[in-house]
Amino acid sequence: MNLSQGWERIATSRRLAFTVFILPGTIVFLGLVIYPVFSSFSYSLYSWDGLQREAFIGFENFRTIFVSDKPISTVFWNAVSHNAYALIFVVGVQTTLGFVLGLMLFQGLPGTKFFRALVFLPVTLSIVVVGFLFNLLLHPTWGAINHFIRLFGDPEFSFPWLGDPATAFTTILIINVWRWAGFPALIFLSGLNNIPRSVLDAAELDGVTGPQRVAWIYLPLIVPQLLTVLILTITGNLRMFDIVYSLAGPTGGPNYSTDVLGTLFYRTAFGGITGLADKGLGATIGIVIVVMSAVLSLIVTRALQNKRVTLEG
Amino acid sequence: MRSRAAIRIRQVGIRKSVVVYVLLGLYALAILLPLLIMYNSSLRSTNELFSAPLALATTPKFENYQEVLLGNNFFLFLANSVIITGGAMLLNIGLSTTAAYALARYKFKVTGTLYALFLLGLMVPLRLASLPLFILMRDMGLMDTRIALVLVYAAWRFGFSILILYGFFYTLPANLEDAGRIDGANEFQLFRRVMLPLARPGLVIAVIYNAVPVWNDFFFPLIFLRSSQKSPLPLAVANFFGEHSVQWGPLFAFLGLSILPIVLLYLAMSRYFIRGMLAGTFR
Repeated sequence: MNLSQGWERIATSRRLAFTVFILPGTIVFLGLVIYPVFSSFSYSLYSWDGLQREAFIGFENFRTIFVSDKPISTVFWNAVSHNAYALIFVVGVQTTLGFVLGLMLFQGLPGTKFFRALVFLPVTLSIVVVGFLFNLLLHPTWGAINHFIRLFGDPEFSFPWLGDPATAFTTILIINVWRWAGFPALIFLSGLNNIPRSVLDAAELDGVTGPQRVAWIYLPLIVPQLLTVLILTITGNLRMFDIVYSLAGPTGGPNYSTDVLGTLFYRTAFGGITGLADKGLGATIGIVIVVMSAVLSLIVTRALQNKRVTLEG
Repeated sequence: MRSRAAIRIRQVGIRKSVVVYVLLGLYALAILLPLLIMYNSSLRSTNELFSAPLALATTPKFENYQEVLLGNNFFLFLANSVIITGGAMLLNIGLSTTAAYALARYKFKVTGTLYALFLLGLMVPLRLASLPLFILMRDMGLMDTRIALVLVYAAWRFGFSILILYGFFYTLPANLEDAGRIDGANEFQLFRRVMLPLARPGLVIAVIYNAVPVWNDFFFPLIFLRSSQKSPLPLAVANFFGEHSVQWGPLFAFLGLSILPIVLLYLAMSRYFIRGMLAGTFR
């Protein structure tokens, strides 16, 4: 056997091995991820009768959702307004809280490990279970939260936090913060831990302390982490479903005051508990959510890109 | 002895340390109180809960647990969760370690394209493509089966596993591979005996990163399962709430039990959980 034949054999066996290794995963991925994603696009271009495709109608489904006088359009814009409010609320409250928690853990005081583990604990819990737990705790008469207020304040206090359209959605968002805040906290913490010792020492020598240090040293150096947090917050928010389902039901009650795109997608695509499903409109809402996530993520990435400070060179 | 703890407090400053401890303590309370109230309430009867919601369970009653464990098939739902998550992880890791290995160690023309395609899959929330999946599962006769969930989860997390495992395989030194070849190992033995054992830390991280969201998922069981006997825990909780809405004692017990597996695992290995669950968020 000469050398070139040997190389050839290795090359063939490498090619064979590569194919055997990559093929099964690729097939499953193409069949169960890529195919459904692209089919969703085509679904939105048809009218549907139950599970049967009826006729090609172009962008009619998009028109129905965006600008028609059908109820679905009203419900859609109602849900969009709630997602917009949720985004502002969660970015404001959860990101700030996460940053403050990250900063406090960054001090490295004794016991930090314990607090770090505790801050992250809710992130590991099932959102539905968290939702149903708070459902009980927030009950107007028997719930622990109102009872607590009765003990220290008005003894007759009884407020339906989830039953009043004025407070229901904000209450849900606060519980969402309870479940999620540990996630940005630990992402920020890892960003802070990555700041080189020398930078912190130099800042200290120059007398940069307190709020100045946060604004001039910490924040510019954790822009990549901030970007990660913002993108995860945006995409997570537009997908919000479990927390609303478990606290307010699939219709986002009371009276659609907590309805979001996630619950609307579920009801429209699968029928939920009430109403008939419309696969075409459901697929359309799904695509709108994907496109909105992508566009918003892109805007945030662009906006933060030139704010990024690198220490190399 | 001047301990390191005392030195650190001095470095940070006494006053600042006190503020940080107070705030962290308050936050810890906000996290723990709802969970403590849940476990406390799970040891009291529904009547007691209605008359005094916050009283301590001084004489704990285990009837609620008895009802949930024996009367309501809790172990069946737990088993469903274990089967679905375990099956999905086995399939996912089997498919993704081989694929990630192939992408990281063999340079062919298609390698870059495939890697980009898998990562593209990460950007799209699969749940919004659930309609075609629904029809696909129906056509394959897999509606209302746990197999449908195993397949969907394994595929959904494929890109995430590739992302994590690719990094691990990529950094393994090339001379290991050469040494294996000189010793006469073929490509498959090389993967199985030499490279795979070295990537084991990556496997642990990939499993944690993917298993937690799969274990906690509610959406896909909701649309794919019809018979409540096949429900994993999150869906079982929702069903239980629908059927027992006024039996608060058993409700609290069910909630407490349903998060217990993950809470115990987390307490035992929180460092790995945190590392694992944050793994996919860095670029």
